[in-house]
Amino acid sequence: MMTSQPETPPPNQIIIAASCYADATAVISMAAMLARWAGADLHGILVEQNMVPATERMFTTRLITPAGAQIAVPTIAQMRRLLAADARIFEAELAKMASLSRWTFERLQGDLMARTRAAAKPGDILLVGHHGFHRHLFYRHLGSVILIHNPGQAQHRAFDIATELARSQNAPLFICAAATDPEQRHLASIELEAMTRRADLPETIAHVFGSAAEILERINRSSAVAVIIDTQVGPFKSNADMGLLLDVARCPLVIVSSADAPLPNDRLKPEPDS
Amino acid sequence: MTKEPVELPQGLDPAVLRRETDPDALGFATTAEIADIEGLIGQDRAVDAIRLAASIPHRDFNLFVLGPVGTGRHRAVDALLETEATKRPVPCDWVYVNNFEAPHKPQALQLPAGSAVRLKLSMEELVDDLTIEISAVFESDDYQNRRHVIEEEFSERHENAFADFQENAKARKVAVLRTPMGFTLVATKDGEVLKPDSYERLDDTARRRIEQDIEVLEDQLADILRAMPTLEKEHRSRVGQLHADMAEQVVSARIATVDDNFRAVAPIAQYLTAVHDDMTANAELFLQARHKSSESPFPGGIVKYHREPMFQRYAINIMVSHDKNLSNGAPLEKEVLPSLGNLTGRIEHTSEMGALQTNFTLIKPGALHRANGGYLVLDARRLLSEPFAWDALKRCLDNRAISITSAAEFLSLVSTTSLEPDPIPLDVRIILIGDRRMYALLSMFDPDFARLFKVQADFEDTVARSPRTLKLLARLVATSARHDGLRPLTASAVARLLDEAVRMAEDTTHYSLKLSALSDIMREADYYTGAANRTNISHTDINHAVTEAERRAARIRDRSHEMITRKTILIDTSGSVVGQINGLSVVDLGTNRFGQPSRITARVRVGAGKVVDIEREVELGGPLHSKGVLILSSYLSTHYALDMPLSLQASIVFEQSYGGVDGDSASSAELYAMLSALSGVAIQQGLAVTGSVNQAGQVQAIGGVNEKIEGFYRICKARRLTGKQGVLIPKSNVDHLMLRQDVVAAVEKGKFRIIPIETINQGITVLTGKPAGKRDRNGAFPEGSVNALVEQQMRAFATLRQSFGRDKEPGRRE
Repeated sequence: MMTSQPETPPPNQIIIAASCYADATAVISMAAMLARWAGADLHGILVEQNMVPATERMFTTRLITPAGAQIAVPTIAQMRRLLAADARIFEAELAKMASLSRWTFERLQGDLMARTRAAAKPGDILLVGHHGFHRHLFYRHLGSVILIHNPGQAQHRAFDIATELARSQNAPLFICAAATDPEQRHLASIELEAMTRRADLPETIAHVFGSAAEILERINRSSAVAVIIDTQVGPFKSNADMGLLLDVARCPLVIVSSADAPLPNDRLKPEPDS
Repeated sequence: MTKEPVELPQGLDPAVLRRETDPDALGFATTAEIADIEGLIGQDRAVDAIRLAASIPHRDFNLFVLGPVGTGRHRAVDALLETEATKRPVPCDWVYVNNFEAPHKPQALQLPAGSAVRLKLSMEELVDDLTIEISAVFESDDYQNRRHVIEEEFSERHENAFADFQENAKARKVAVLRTPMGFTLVATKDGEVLKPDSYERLDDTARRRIEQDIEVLEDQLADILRAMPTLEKEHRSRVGQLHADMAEQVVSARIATVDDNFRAVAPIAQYLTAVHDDMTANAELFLQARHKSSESPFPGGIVKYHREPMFQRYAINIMVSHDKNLSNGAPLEKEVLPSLGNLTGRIEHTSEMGALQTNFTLIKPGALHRANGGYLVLDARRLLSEPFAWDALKRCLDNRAISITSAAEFLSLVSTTSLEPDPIPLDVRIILIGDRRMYALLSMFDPDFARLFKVQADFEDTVARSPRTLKLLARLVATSARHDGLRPLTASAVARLLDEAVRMAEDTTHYSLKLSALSDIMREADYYTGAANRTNISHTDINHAVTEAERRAARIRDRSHEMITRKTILIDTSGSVVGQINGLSVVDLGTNRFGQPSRITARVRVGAGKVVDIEREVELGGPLHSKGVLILSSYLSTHYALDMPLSLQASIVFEQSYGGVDGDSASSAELYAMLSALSGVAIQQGLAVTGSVNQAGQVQAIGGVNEKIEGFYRICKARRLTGKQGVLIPKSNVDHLMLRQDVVAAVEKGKFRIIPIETINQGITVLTGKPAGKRDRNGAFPEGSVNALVEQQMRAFATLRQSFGRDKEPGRRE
């Protein structure tokens, strides 16, 4: 089912957003898993970014294929047909993966992050797809699940999602936080250590960086399965931050909001040590 | 010249008609008292040949054993070869193994005797152990760590390439947009995609800068993406090398233990090197097998991984193995069905998904493999009856190697590629057992035969009769009786049995060496002994066995004789008739033969000198019979009226004979009939005649003399013996007489007589009662003699013929 304007989304839904089907494939199975885990519905969004007017202006004349070939930019009509095909495939795949969950689908235009966050309701979990530049086979299972934590801030949902993803993907969990002065770094370390114990995973790594920029730098040079962030607690909150985070992570971005109602299947866990 | 008829000669003394064995000469009461004898009697020539072939080391001295059935050929070959085989070393083992570089050419390995089975078990154990150990290696922390290092390195290189690009793009304020077809680069301002109208408002310099930046970044991104496959290939290569290194450590260690068990066996060492390389390169096979077994729903136990089809490549296909603890020398093999496949081996196929598949494990050995290094005994007739088997055997002997070829390949009927296994070197001595005809045919028509089978062991039919051979044969009889689990024979039984051996030899100075026939009589006699609840086989039992065997086979004989006695077939046994005589023939039915008389008639008239053999004219006469008739024709033309052309037309026929006649044993009878017809002197019908004649008028020996005499005797006896009846036989056949006791008894009583004849003149005198006559100094026969009357008639024919020609019109010639 596809609509230009969604009906009132049901509470606690998993939103899958992508600008093309290739990026969507990176998160659809992950989203279906989370939907089953959370008992939530699925909603797919294909965002046609503002590239059409840009290409129309001959801004750029070339397009780089995933194999590295440089080809002429398709015409508007061709691009629209391709996007329509992507939408059909995205929707079909969503229907297949949804199985027992309810699912909806819509097409939007505009900025990916802005349109996607605007479509999300309180309690929704947002999965922004990113396929990366190259489908690398050799470290498919080697990437980490990265949880960006803001010390002193409770983010149960993000933590639970991160641990569940790490467990299901059989991937290490990397918890990172930023603290500028030594005392904050010390407290952050203790907090991260407690989170590590609570995670109870085969491999959990925690690190306190000197700044948010260092986190971005580290993520930029890491292989990741997904990056989870709670936009309520930060340190990255705005659409621009999310766009930047998506670009450097080059992997799916899971955006949660800790101010929202807990998920039905949220485990009752003690507050992290501070 | 006497006008009194010549008295019928008395004939041979009964004592020479049946020279029986004296039981007292044997020197024992029963065979229980005498020791066994090893080997055969009277076969020294053949036995020496067998020993030569068995022991001579040079190639191509294969052996053909020829001789009549029942003379102990097989037994002698077995016994002698078994002895010789123990003196030869136990041959080596042969196996086929996979050729890893060319699987369609399996390799043959020569191994020390008894080591093939050990190698097979060792390889199976190796595979089982490596499946577990290699899996453990790839689950070990060492492997995981080393693998992780490689993954981290390549992951870092991968991410760094794109990270650098991202940073570069960010620094130039360029964003990457994803489209269904790939990536496009756009300028940004304040983190947002630069809108078209904003772009239009930029000056040319700024626009050019943007376009240049984008162009540079597009090239950079394209280069990075094009380099990814190379990076992946390098990663695969590093991981593969890691796997090979890890596997190689385990494989080397385990193969070293196998190698230790077969130290200094060069073929095994070379093979294990190839196995090592293959196992290292195909370590994933062991992981697959382990994974498969772990998925099994059944509880884990001792799993025979080597049975998995994927590990067939490491199997050992044993073609022949000799356990030194069990084998006593070289092998002695017999192949009762020497087909091509049974002889040289075969390559079997399995059907998979509708296609025929094969591999080195499906090579099956043949008799040549089993006998390699020793002896192989084959029946010649069976071998030559099997398609392509003889050719294949010769080829193997010529090449000194066993090559496996199917019948379809011989005929070029198949074009599918099969296996080409290494030929296995062949060192075998072939022993063919066959009859004399087979040997003669092979010698005459197969040029390879004489080259490959240089030794023949010709078994004798008979052995000379002497006190020594008598005792030896008695021991042979005793041995045979014990071997067959029979009761002991009394001395008289042995004597009676040996009398049968003399009769079978058809020569009173020899014993037949057809031991199987004697054994048959003994076994039947033993049955009668048991039925009578006696402990020893007596001569009565032997007699009984002989007569019963004759009776069982005598239906046709009895029906034939009945036709004669009932005069359906006309045979006179009394009176005298001109131009008619009783000839004698033998009917051979394979298991039994009997003699019977045939009426031979001759008619003469004037003619052009032709003797017509009616049997030949109607193609019922064989070439030997025709030869006899031609000889008697020559006799007539060279003995009578020599100064005149032969002017008679004569015809000779076997009356009431419709089944074909061959042989010249009746040629003397035919000549007597002719002389009777020419002379007009009648032949006594109470006498029968056998014997061939030569051009000089000498009567020559024939075969089956006993059966012929007994056949005529039965007819005469059925009609009542007159005392004037008998058989004329060649004198040279006297030593062949071993008549049945009833005939001998009749002769003793003067009721029948056996008359030896040397010449035609003698014979015609006996048959007609009139002297034959001998030319005097003037060349004339005595008046009234048979020859005189013959010549007189022939002159009359010549004169009549001459006058007939003169009475024709002038100038007309015949």
